[in-house]
Amino acid sequence: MMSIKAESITLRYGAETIVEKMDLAVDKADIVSIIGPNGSGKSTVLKALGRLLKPAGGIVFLDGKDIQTEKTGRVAQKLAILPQTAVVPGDMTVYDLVCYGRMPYQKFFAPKSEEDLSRIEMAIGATGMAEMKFRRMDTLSGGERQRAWLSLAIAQNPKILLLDEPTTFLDIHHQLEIMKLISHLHRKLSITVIMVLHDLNHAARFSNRIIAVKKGAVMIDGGIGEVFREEILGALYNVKTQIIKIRQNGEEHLYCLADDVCEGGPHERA
Amino acid sequence: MSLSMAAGKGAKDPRLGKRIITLSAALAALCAFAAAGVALGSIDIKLSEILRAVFDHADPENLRENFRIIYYIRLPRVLTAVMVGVNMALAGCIMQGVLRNPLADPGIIGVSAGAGMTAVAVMVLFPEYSLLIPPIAFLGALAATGIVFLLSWENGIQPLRMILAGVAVSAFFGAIMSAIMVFNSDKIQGTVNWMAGGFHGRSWEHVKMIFPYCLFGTVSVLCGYRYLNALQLGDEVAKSIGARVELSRFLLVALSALLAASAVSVAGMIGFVGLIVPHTMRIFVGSDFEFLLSCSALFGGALVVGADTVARTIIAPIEIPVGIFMALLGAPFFLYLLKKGMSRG
Repeated sequence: MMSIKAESITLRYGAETIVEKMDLAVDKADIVSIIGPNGSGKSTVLKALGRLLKPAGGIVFLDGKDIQTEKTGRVAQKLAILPQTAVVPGDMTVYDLVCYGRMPYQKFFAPKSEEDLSRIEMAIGATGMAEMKFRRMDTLSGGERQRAWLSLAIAQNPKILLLDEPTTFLDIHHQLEIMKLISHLHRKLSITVIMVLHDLNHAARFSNRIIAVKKGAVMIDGGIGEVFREEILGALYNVKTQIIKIRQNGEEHLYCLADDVCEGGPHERA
Repeated sequence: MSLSMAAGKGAKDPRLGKRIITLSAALAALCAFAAAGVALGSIDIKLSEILRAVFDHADPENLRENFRIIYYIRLPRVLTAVMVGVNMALAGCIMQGVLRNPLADPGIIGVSAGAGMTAVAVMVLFPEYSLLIPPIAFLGALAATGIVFLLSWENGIQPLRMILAGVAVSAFFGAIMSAIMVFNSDKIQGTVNWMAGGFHGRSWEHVKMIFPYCLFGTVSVLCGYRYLNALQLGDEVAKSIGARVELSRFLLVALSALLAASAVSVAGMIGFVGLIVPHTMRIFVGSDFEFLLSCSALFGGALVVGADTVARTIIAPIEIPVGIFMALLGAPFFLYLLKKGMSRG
């Protein structure tokens, strides 16, 4: 099991401090969801964990090594991160995109190895994109495109997968499809998944652990039962909520229903 | 070159056929146009004499006039034109990829303005040194690029800053060049031809000057196309798959600047190739740089040598400067391709 740990990290964009001295550790192959209001710094934390943002203070350790000083190609063999806004040349095919996942393993001027080829096929198969592998990216639906991106990350053969709002811009059918796929990949490949989610009910249903971030600090970090409580979610988002338990197909889920906004909420404008 | 597209089992990449055809066509065009460039000219020379001059230059009869025309005039001219075309097309292709801007060409990072300013300064102010124009123009191009680099640096090259800095530096060098010309309007006769770009009187000296850059550039892009491809996915994804984004970008832009500077310094202002050729090839082979770079290089070489041959024979013995000729014919053709490519989606 590979661990990722942030020790007292301070994150800044220019002069603006987003996160101050945050500690965070994931050392079990869980699905961990990071939730929190807009502007709380949750995506920023994810970027720091994925070495896309260099901390102004503190260190992120991947497998015990400083993620900023380790070779970025080595990091890419252990960890994959999909940012929220990923761009791609429209005429690129799914297959070409997934091939990039093997870049961390390829020597400077060497062709793809047998292992590269089989990993690429495996990654495409794992997300159900085999039928579409030579389709152009600009002919895919939003859900298919997201699956292609997931294939790219899977082709890296990572132990840790970081996802920034993987279901944004998708309808409920495709949202559910992507969440189930992530859960499936997690179980099948025993990958640790750390993702930023906006949909609280997805977080409750699909993760083992939830980290709630507010104003650049961890407000609470624990299992679903610990975090998914009316007073906690209420304080996190400044919303009156109702938590209900429902049964679907023999599984029990907690559901959060937003009731009313509270005064002085995080979204309140001056 | 590895044809990675063929690797997938089962169904094949539908673009593969088109890509191979385009690549072969560009290669065939390059060979055909280069051969025509050696064979055709204002003086008719028999094929047997041409072959002997090209392939057997130790011929005892090598003092004859036709041999001299082929070996000392046409052959170096054709080789220079091919390499200028290759370099400019590669430079443009790299710039468009790194800056992710379809309007980017080597001119945008100050290469042309720097070379132009220094070349004009030598031609007008120190005409006795005009033999040194190519190396001096090369230094001018690199100096201008260096300034653009410094201005656009902030934890690596920022593409947008680079474009803005390039525009500003080009304007500055352009202004100096215009000032020199305005204040010496009686001596600018020679500069006009240089500005139009051309290969008249190019010798083996010019071939030697550009050859190392052409070779180095070609080898480098064959090794580096993966990084150029990775940059197309945006900085964050590129980093996620292990590419060293800032370093790749710096090396690629520096390579592009070297290629363009070496081309401009031997051929004058031939900017058009770097912008048009990569775009045209993109319509045919798509945005994968594995194919885009090699097709652009071959087609760029073919286009310049072909255009130069036509430009010097069509109303022989008068030569049309090849830069003007290419722009006049190429721009409308490019617009046609663009419209066709767009409507097809």
